[in-house]
Amino acid sequence: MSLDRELAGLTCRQVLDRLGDYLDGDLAPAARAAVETHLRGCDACARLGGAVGAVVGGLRQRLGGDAPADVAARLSERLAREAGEA
Amino acid sequence: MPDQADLADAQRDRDLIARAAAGDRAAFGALVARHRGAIHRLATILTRDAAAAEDVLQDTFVAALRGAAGFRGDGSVASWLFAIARHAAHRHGRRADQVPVAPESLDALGAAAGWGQPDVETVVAAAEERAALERALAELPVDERAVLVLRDVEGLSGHDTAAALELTLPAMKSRLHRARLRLAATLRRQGGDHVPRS
Repeated sequence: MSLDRELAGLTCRQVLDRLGDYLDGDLAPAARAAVETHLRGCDACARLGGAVGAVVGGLRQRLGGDAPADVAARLSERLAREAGEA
Repeated sequence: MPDQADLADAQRDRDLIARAAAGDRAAFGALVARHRGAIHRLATILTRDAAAAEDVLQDTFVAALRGAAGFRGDGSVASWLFAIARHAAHRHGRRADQVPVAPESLDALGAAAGWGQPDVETVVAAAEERAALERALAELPVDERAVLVLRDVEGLSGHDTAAALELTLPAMKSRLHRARLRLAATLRRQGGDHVPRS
């Protein structure tokens, strides 16, 4: 299998290069349509795109949240001291 | 394009920092409450050390408290705080993090991430697990950890991420794309390393 394979006017290498902009919605409509046509016909690119998209989604959904309560409490104490000294 | 909720959040931050600059401690407290989780997360991922991360968190908000009046407003408050935190984390950084990463072609990164490989689905499964994501992130070069946290975890816009990292937008996008591929490659490799034992 080679990244030089061409489908819908794009090689797999070109799709790989544009994958970040595609996932972020930063491609112009025509470029987006070309990538989507390539992905519909290319299993290797579609599966990699799905994997990278899952990584982005995982980062957004799994790693959020507030600081631990003890860390937040010590931060408040430090800031109260700073404000008192100002 | 930012949605209405993002714009409302950014405006609320600007209102809070303006009030904090005028001496309103409650406003500064509200700003801290809105951003301490994200700053602590960035600090933890950049320093990979709980004590150092807490120092970075505290130093960031102390600097913000002292410098609230100097906030220029040409970027978001969030990107300003992240930039302060990134510099603070750099001061706490380990020497190993300063070692430049050997350049790697996009082809090689794509292949490592699973392009054309039958086990690419392991990345999808690993991306569902918080512990796997944290383990893989910790292996990435510090600059790639930073861009992933700002853009993908915290959801900063492309412009705000670039501003916080002091990069041009194209340079930030290039780093982000490589970081995502390297994270996928690391998850794929770690998926192979963590075969469940019977």
